[in-house]
Amino acid sequence: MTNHRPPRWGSWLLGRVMGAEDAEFVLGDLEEEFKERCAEDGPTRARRWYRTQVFGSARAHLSAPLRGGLWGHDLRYAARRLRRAPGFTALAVGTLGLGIGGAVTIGTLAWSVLRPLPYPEPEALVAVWETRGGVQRGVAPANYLDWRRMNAGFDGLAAHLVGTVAVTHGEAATLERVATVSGNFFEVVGAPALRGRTFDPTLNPAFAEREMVLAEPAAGRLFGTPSAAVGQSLRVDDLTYSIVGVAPARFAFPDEGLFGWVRSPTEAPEIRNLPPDFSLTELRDAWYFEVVGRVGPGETVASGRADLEGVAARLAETYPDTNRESGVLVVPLLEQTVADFDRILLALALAVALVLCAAWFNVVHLTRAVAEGRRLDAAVRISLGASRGSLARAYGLEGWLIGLAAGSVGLLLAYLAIDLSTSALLESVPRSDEIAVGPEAWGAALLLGVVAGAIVGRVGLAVVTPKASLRARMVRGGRGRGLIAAQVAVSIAVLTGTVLLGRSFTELGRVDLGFATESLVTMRVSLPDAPSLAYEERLLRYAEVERAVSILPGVESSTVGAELPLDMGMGAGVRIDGIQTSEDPPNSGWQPVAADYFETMGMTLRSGRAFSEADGRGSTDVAIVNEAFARDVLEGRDPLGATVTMGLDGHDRPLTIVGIVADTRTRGPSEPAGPVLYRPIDQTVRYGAGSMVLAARVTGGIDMAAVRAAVRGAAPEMPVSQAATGSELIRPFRANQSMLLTIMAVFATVALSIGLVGVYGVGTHSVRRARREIGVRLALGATGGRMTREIIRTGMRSAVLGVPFGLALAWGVGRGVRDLLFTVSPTDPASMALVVLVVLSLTASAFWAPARRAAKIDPAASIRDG
Amino acid sequence: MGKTLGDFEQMILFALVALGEDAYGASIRREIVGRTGRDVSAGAVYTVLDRLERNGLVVSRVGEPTAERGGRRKKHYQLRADGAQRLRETRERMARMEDGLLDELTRLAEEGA
Repeated sequence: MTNHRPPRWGSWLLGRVMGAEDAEFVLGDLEEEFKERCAEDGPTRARRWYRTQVFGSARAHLSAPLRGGLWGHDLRYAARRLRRAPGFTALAVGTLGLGIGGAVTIGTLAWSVLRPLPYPEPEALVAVWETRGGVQRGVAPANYLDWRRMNAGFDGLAAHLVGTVAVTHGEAATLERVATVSGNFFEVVGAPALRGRTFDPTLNPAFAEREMVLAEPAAGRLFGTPSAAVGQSLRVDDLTYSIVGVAPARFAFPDEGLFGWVRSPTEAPEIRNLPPDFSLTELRDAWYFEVVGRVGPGETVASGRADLEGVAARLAETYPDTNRESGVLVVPLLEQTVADFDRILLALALAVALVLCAAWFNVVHLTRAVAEGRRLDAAVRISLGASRGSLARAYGLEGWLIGLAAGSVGLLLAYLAIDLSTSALLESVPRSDEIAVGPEAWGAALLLGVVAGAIVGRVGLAVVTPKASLRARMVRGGRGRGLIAAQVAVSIAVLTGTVLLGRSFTELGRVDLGFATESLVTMRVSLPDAPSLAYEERLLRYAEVERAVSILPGVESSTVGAELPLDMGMGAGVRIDGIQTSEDPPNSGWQPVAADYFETMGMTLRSGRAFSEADGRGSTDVAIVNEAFARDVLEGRDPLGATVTMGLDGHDRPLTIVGIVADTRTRGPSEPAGPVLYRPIDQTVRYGAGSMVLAARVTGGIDMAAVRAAVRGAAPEMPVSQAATGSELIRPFRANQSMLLTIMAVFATVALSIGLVGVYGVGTHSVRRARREIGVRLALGATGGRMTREIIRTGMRSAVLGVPFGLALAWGVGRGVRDLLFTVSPTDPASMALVVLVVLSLTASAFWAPARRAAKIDPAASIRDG
Repeated sequence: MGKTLGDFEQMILFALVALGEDAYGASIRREIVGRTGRDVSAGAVYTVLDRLERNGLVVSRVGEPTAERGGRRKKHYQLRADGAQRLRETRERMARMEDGLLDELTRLAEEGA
């Protein structure tokens, strides 16, 4: 036997056409027979025979009716080619997957924040406010009743008022947030009951039984199932309500996480704990209610507004004393609920689009690079008779496979990212545990994948089939340089947004709140039977609870007060020294507090004295004011010794100011302090005291359970809620920021990763194209280190081009999140400089690997192979 | 009754009958070339064998790699009962069709009418 071997191109060609597995047996047969033929006929004839066999076999394979039909065959072919280029497949699937995952994650988060109102015809719903001299207020009860009677533009106007009440079920009492609503509330909002019924507005409220609608989660918690709750009754404070229905969990109006809705026996929501001589329904200058309206059929928000403005003008004529400066503000409910999120959403949508584009560009670039290497393969197939259609199918399917894989990877990433971000958000955002990747997300991921895949397929085809020269030229335009610049620009923009929000978030946590949060424990306790107790009796009950806590080991001081220093809402007009400074007296917050309030909260006394046990009933009525009060209300006059009156609780005896305390952030950490006047609780006459804040300063670690146990021991009937350590108090105020920060962080990670993959891809591709040139330079004595530096430098030139665009985009992002920034400028130069530095260094490092590879090119081989 | 087999399919199945245990790509091809003088490509043989296998008429097994094949493996084929039956049916159908007609066919071919 001779040692002739068949020509190698045969195995190359058949391997390409048939795939390695199928080619093996054919090639084996051919080689076996080739050798025999060499021995019999000589190598020349054997070679000729071999050539005929190879072409014949290839043609037979290509023209045979295909296994599993056309598509099945092409699918296998596409899968095989993807397997053969694992680097390309992994990069393409990974990049697109990242982009899709990012888009789906952000979409899911944004959707959960911005999901549309779940009510019928939500566009007809409006929030209605009173204005007083242009300033937005709630709605006064008497005005609300007149609006209802006199308007012609609304189907209904419903009033509501959310408060914390004690709910007693069996033995256990809990503090719950409940909305007190007018009888037409559910009709106006348009929410049907899940079980039972809602309130019937046609029933005369004066005769109706006290009725309540429970929220689905509350019904489940108390009675097991919503159905079981209907017909039961509950004590709310000191009154018994029968549960007429259960509202579905998704009904969250006017607020998330409500326990339920109670109907007043009057047309306007009832406010309990008011002094007996107050007639709620005659008040025109106390803005208790919030109002929601549904504009009538054929009416618009604008016509409803015009109608109500007419009503307000007539009321101003009838009641000039109270309503002279009164107006109305009608806002579409959607706008009110979403507030400034629509702008943020727009910015996010834009950013998502940018990132997706970046991912697509990357993959297109990658596809082009790979397809260039496959031109030969395609040419062989075409010359052997493969139709353009079959090539198109093959490339299309390849794109599909990539797209589907990328969609799946994207979904997987979205699940992971949502999981991570919800666990981070859980503590600060209500219902964030319900954020989940839903069917919309699945649809979006697959759609994005398929569209991306289709593009990949088209690009691949355009590169390998010369006929599609126009398309090829289109995809070849905008080379790697532009791609790098664009990636750098997008990365800078998104990262700047993240850094700004991150810094702002940190700043917000660092704000001097005006009181000491460390070692502080606070909770709200309430008296379910307060309305049936005399005022002094109520105060005594709180004092007992406070004493029980004060003797716990480790408790340095303890106190009760109406509200927390971070969230003070009660206010009234102030008159100074009996002198009426203006028609409208300046408004100030006021707080009834027990003796140790300032000490326990860790508030600083600036001058004068703190309250003492001696400031009781019968002694001189005293007050302590904060610095904002001295500045804004007293307009710089010396507060110490000044006397003011505040007509709060039915007695307007003059109060002598005996001390000044430092400001606390009474409206949350991001707002400046408002004026506050503190009074000893024992000197107040009719403060409601339905519930109060109990606070303790503790040394040696906080044992919340022990504090709760002490409260339970002293007053088993008193429910406890909102138990928190001082450092937790700030959380709700950071919720929006923390949500957005999480979204932006996810986003920045995605954008950066895609950008770096893109840069890496472009670098690799350009090094491969410039292989021969690099080889020549290395052969002529250039060192590897020098080549590396030069390649990185060339790449970085393109990257730097992206910086001005990135800064411009970053400026836009900064403006988008401006309202959420706290003490950080939206165009903060330090943040931007840092971001540019980080992005450019990362870009340089992404160029490093391909540049290193270039330096190791074997000059001889590169020049020979081209 | 199954679908009638094509020419090439019948040739391959007959080659399997002839070769028995020794049937694999190259031997099948040689059997066909040797008996019919028709030169077919190895690729075409495999394409058809592939289809026959999918239709359940033949079975294959992969053998060990050998040196004379450049270290490649052989794919052996064997006729299944279904394949044998189908081949017989095809042949019988053809035989019924030509029954008593061959003489006339010969006459027509020679006269060239």
